[in-house]
Amino acid sequence: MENLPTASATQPDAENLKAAPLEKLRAQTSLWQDAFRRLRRNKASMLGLLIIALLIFMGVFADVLAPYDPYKADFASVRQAPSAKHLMGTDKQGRDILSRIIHGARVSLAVGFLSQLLVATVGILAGAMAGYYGGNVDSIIMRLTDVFYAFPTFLFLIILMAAFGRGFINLLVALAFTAWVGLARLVRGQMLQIKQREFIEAARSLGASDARIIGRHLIPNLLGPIIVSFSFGIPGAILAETGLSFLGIGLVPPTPSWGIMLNDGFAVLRSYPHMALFPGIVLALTQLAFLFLGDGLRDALDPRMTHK
Amino acid sequence: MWKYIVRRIGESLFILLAISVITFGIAKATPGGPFGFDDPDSGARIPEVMRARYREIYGLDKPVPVQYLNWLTAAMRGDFGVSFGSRNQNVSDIISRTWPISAQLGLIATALALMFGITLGIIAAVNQNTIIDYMTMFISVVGTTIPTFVLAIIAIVLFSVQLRWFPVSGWGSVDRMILPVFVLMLGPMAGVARYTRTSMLEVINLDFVRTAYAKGLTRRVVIMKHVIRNALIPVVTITGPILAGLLTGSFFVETMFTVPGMGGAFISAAATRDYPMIMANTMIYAALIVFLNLGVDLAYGVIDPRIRFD
Repeated sequence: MENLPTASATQPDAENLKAAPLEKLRAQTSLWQDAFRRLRRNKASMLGLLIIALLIFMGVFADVLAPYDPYKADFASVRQAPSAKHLMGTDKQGRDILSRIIHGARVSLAVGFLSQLLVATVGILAGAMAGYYGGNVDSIIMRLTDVFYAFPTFLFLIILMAAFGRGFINLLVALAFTAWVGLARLVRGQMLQIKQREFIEAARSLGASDARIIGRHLIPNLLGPIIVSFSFGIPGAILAETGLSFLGIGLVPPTPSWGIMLNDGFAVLRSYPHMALFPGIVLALTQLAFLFLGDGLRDALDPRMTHK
Repeated sequence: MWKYIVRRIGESLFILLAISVITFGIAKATPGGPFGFDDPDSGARIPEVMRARYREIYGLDKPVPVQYLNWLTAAMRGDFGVSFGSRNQNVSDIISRTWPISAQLGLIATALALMFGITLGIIAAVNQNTIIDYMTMFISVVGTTIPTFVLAIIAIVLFSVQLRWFPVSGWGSVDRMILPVFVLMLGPMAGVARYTRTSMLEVINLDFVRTAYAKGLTRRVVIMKHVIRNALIPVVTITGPILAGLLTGSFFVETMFTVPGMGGAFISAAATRDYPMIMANTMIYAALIVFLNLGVDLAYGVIDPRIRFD
């Protein structure tokens, strides 16, 4: 349902026209100011944003923040329970778990953002081509998206990773390969819809150039849904990465990935539960934060939502 | 109607065929075979005669399109070849041993997810904006966000290690089934609860509900006879996503609780590049999802007569 095309953002719908005089009394605000105002009122989203900001901070300054080297083995202190020296304990090689979680934030965010950049590039290009050219190009791309849609994503990811082997680049490519479909459909739907709206026709009849129509009307209208798709795509990619790494077909040890840490911890879960619990909780919190932010963004950027 | 059904079945078969081509293509495009010929240590020691013999036995000496057609014709008869992983076993035998277990796990989890999810959703909607609603939605948010494998870890630590209520792994007896079923169904249940609540709230505000109240019906009758019946129709449509979620969940649940089902077998096949197993499992999963989605779409028209097929 998230992939259904939503109405364009700058054009008031028929039922909103009645409210137009009232709107004029208010100081004019742009779509983005409106959206941000709505987002700021959503407490859950702000909490999500706070946690994500913290994660980004952790990821960027991991080298400074982490109390220990995340790769350095210390066989004198193996699988220690949490203590003042190691707040979250140590793993099977005596590596500090807190430090690995902090560096893991960098890994997760890199997977999340970079894979979504790839998805956006492929998805927007494919969707725009389908929407712009129509005809055969459109039907071929849409048939392809039908097939990809029916292919259960995680199953597809497992096959790709099993076949091409684990590793960071392979994972990014596999994630982009399986996830471009949703965005392509979204962009195509939006383009088809927007192309026929009266305000585009109006702009054209007033003599606006193609560049102006694309820059001033098409892109701003597409940006909202793309941002929302990004905000759900990032946690999706992080979840896929940790899941695959947990199954042993994602990233390669000794990368400080939360999924690899979960895998290490699960092997000795009964005796040393702290090894799996800490990365598990951090991963769950991350997912929660992105869900809160994504929900808030969707509400904030959906122009059909009634202004209250 | 019939024209629509025939067209949809045709489309579904096309999609399955395309998926089989993609999977087969991926399997063939990858470096390194299943026998470790390219392994720098042991591979070099395998004599060429033996390599050729192996390729011949498994039909790998023929061109890829021929290999695909051979695979396809055999697969149509239910013969998915010999597993590379456990070389004396047919893939079909492994699957006929593992799928009843996965089906059992999946069906119980689906039934419970729908039952509890719908109940929670209705309770939340009827008590909208009360503490009951917030509690229910809290459970639902937690269920949606905690990844299956993290949930499994928490459940094992809490119920098996700390409280010692259930054994950690295995399958067959009820006490062994409780944890895997619980872990598998929580996510889908949370999704169903959220969806049911939204759907209920939409219906509760419709005019015909106001009419029902206006003609003097009690709240109980209005909710039971009018609201729930209409609100549950859209819930049917999330069966597809639920099944996809259960499938992903089963990979983790079966691996982590050592349930001897298809999901666990698929993950070990993927880790060892056992292509005949990977192909067979993929096709069964894809067929399951494609035809279930088709069934849901058709059933939707039967349940809700307002839906017309073109």
